[in-house]
Amino acid sequence: MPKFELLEPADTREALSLLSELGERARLLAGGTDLMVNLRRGRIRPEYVVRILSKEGLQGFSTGSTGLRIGAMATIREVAVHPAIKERFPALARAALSMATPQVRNRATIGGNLCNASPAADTAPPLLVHDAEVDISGAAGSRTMPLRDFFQGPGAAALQAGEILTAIRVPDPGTGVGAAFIKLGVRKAQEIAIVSVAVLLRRGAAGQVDEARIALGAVAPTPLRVPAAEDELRSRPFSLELAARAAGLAASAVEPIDDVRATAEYRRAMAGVLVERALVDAWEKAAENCEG
Amino acid sequence: MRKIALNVNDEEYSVEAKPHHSLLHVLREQLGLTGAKEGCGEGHCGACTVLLDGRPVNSCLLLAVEAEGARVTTIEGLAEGGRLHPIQEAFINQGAVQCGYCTPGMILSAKALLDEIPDPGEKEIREAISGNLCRCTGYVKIVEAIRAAGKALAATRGA
Repeated sequence: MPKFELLEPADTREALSLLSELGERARLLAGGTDLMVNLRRGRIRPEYVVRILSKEGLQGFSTGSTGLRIGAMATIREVAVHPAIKERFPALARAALSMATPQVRNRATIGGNLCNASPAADTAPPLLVHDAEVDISGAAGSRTMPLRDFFQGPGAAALQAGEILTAIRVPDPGTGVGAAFIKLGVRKAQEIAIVSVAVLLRRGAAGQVDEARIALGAVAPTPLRVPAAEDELRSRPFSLELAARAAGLAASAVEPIDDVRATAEYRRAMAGVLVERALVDAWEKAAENCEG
Repeated sequence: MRKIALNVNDEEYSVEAKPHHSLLHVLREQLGLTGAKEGCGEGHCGACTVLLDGRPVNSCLLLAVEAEGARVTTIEGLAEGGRLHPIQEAFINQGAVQCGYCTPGMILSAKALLDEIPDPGEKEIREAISGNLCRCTGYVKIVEAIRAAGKALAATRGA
């Protein structure tokens, strides 16, 4: 392991002043499951690693009238097993459970998963369809932004030097909503998605689609929503033909690349297949979640 | 150097370690506990698995300082009074060990599972060891050993 100096500020406030002073010379330690690998491979060479001693405000879950707040340093395992997430945001729980290994899920954090800004980040598509927002703190103050705007490119998140992602806010989905998550890989465990898809649908009283949100991972420089496919669904009565049409639009909207895991052509084809399946799945779940 | 207080296998240790050293490094090089192995060093193979407050983690990806204030369990901590743990017995009896490199990690992942789900099915067992790679013999005997250990532990509890 390459050498670095370990700084251990007492709390977030102290960490923010350290990070703003050190800028690019320091990296923040969360779960360490990516940071340690990147240090070892020499992909990053920070002089300082910053470990916050009191994680107060950065961990845990709180539910309010408007939705759920997830501390950025909540572990992937905690997200996968949390009762409120399993009940209200099952697509997110499922995505968390699909990630890496039990050992990694016990340390890796949801904030780390988002800040690394991998196009294949497992928790990104379900959070995107839930219109999640992220709380960001810096020495100069705090701001909240939509997660959609947080991903700027492969490995590039909308964090200024010295800023920390502190929490993820997920609005309550309300009734009549169904969400689905599908991850395609060549094996079940320890897999990075070839394509991942999350869908959220709200079912209207007359059987029409009141709201439709579709997000995909690993098929573009960032995890992305596909507005053209969503617009196709909104206000129309749901049918398999409609789902197939929307899936076709989603497949046209993605910009995949060839890499070791799959070709761009395969990814585009599978994006369509998986969106169609996830739409059908989410619609059925939405029916189960209708009141009365 | 930084002083690190560790609780490993219910014993308190105070070590002077470099802050960039992993828990695996400190366990092996400073405490002489060589059961946990370095395989890939990147969190895939699970040969370095130890339990942190009862849950499996990759000790190669954990700074030693991160283990302060937690209970660390290594394979050396499983036997009691010179008697092997029932999971260790089951691995021997079922022939679930070949070269042995993955075995400490496999057994600790199995322990975390059985502490949470005393009578797991095959799917739960396979998920629990999905972060532990065996390159010798395959997983059938290992899955059988974990199931047998679960039954043996249940019998002990019932008695």
